[in-house]
Amino acid sequence: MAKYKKIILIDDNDTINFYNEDIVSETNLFEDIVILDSGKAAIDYFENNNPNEFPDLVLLDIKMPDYDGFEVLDELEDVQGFENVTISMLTTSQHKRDTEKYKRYENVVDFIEKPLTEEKFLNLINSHL
Amino acid sequence: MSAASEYNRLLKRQIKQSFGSEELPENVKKFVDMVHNAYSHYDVYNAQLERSMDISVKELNEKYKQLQDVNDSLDDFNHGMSHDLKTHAVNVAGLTTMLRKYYQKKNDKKVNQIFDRLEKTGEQLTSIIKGFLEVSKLENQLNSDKEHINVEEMVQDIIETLSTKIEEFNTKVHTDFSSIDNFYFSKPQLYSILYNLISNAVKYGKTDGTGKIFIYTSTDGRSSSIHIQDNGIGIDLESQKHKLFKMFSRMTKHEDIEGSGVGLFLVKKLVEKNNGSIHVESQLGKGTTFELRFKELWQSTRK
Repeated sequence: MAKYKKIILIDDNDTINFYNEDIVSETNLFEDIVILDSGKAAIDYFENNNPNEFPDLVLLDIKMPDYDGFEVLDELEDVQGFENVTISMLTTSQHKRDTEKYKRYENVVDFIEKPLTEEKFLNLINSHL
Repeated sequence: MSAASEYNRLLKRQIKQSFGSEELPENVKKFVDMVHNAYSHYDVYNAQLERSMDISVKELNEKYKQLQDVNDSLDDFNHGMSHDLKTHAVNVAGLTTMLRKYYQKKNDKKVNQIFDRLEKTGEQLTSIIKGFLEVSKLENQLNSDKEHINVEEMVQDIIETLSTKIEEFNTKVHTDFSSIDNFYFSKPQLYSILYNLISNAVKYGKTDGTGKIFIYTSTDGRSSSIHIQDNGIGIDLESQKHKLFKMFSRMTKHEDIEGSGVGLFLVKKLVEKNNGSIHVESQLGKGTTFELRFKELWQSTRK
């Protein structure tokens, strides 16, 4: 039985999802790894599932073509139970504007610069889960 | 109030004070007329000057807006390109770390999967850089000599170049140049525009043998248009219109359809550079029509 129930990886680039999934599954910390490939898919998931289906952790890409990471968070603001989901945002650039922005969202605990590595991932788990 | 009428008022008052109701001497009358004329000319000159200043200010504002637009699109370009490049560079880094791990574990299946992805990422990088070069080349193109071009021939050439894909999808291509078949345009620019649009019509068209592409010209007596119509996947104009002609934006998540995302951006730039405008109509699942409208009246050599 893995330590945590579920993690959701959200990124529009499938190669990123490919190796993020590899890093996560190698840790054997999560029972279930769900991959979503767009902002819309992310919004649909949280709007259409029960809070008891919600993941322990979400890795959320910022730059996506339809809804970007922050827009997803805005859309899901009022969804019951979403406030308890731990979220880390992934980015290709340490844009100052973005680092300030994420502090506005209470359930966003961290900000990781791509590429994700095992080390960064374990740090995230140890600090925030 | 004009200078002439103001002066007249003051002058009349002065004359009344100096001469009362006496008849003015001839030389004074002549003097008054001359000065009045001079002031009228001054008024006319002043009005002309103001008008030309207004035009200059208007022109300056227009030029300023044009520069702002160019600046904005360069900004978008930098932003879009650097993000895309960075994404692929990041992927190469992640994939090679993963490759090392599975190579050491001697996991051939994973190793091959990773190689496939590395290959694909390499292609995407090349595509972006090619796109960048295409656009830079356009900016540097000083020579855009116009000539009379047989558009029907050019389109046939393009169809010939795309014939492999057209045959593969068994798509039918119809043309109608009875309205206009001759454009006065820069050959390489027109080729670029038409090639981009027609190749898109093929790429995003139906691939099951039911694909139909219709290329035709039309005129409304004031402008000349060429239309490229397909019955393919269509575009969600309501939500995507603002992104359609932006650099590096791709309308579809179909990553297997090759494209650098600069095609429509280039097409729009070229069309507008040539005093034209581009119009899109589309319905998801039904198809798309691009119309290029030029403020010229071109001929049909058949008439």
